Amino acid sequence: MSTLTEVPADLQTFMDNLHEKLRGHATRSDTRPFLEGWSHTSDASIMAAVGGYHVGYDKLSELLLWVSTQLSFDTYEPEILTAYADGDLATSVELEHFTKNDGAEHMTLRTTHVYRREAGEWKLLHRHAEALTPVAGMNSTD
Amino acid sequence: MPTQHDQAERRKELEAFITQCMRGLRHQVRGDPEPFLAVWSHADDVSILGAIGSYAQGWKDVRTHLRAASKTLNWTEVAVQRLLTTLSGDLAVTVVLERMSNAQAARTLRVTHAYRHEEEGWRLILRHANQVTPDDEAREQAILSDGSSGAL
Repeated sequence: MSTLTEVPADLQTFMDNLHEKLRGHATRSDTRPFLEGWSHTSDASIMAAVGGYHVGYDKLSELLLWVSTQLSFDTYEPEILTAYADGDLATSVELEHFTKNDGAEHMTLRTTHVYRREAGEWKLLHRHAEALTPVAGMNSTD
Repeated sequence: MPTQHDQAERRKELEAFITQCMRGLRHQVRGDPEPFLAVWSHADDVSILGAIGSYAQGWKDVRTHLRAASKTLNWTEVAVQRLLTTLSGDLAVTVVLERMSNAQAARTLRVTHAYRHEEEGWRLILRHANQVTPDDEAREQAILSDGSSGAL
C-alpha cells in the first residue's frame, strides 16, 4: 500500500519559511522569528533536543530563547523524510543536519513537527527532536 | 465536508483505536510485538523513530525495527499520560509520556504518535519515542527557574 501524502502548497510555503527561521535560531541566536511560526496556544508543546517536555507557548518560548543562547552552529540543513497532511493538521518527519568549525563538528537530529492551521494560517504546534543515534543494521546518516 | 456528527464519530473511533494501540504497546514492551504490529498501517510512508535509536520507514522496515526492539524489552507496567490530542479529517496526533517499569528499573518515554484513517479504519503511521532522563528533567527545571543553568 502506498499513500504518500502530497503536501498542500500553503503548507509547503510555511515549512520552507519555518526552515529559514530555524536556521536563524540555530546559527545566529535569532529566535524571535522562529517563535512567530509557533502556535501561541496553551496546547502547543515541545520535546526539545535539550531534553524534557513543555506544554504551552509561554513555557516553550522561554526554553527556546534560552537554548538559542547556547547554540553556535554555522550551518543547518533540513532533510524531510516524509510528511502527512489532511484538513487543518499536518506532520513532517525530518533529519536536521548541523555543523560548526568548518564542518569539523556535526550533529544530526531526528525531528517530528506537527502543524495546525489556525485562523487560516499554518502554525507549528509541536516539535519533538533529539540526536540521531545509529543502530547497527538500521538507517542512519553514518 | 464532514458534519459535526461525523467528526464526533471519528473522534470516538480514534479514542477506541488509541486504546487498542496502548494494549498492543504493552505487549510490544514485554517481548511480544505482534499485537502492536497489528495496529500499524502497511503503507510505504509509515515511520518509526523508536527509543532504541535510528529510524525506519515503510511497513517492512518498520516491522523489522519493531520486532528487533521488542526482543530487548521486558517492561511489565506501562502507564500513559496524554499531553495532546488533535484531529482533523483523516489525520490525528497524540503527544504522550509513557512510564514503564519492572521489578528492577523504570523509564519514561516522551512520544509523538500520528494516526491516519484508512479504508480499514484508524491506523498508526508514526511513532517517535525517546527517553526522558531525570537529569534532563532537573536540567530543564534549572533552566526555566533561573535562565542560566544547565548545558545543551
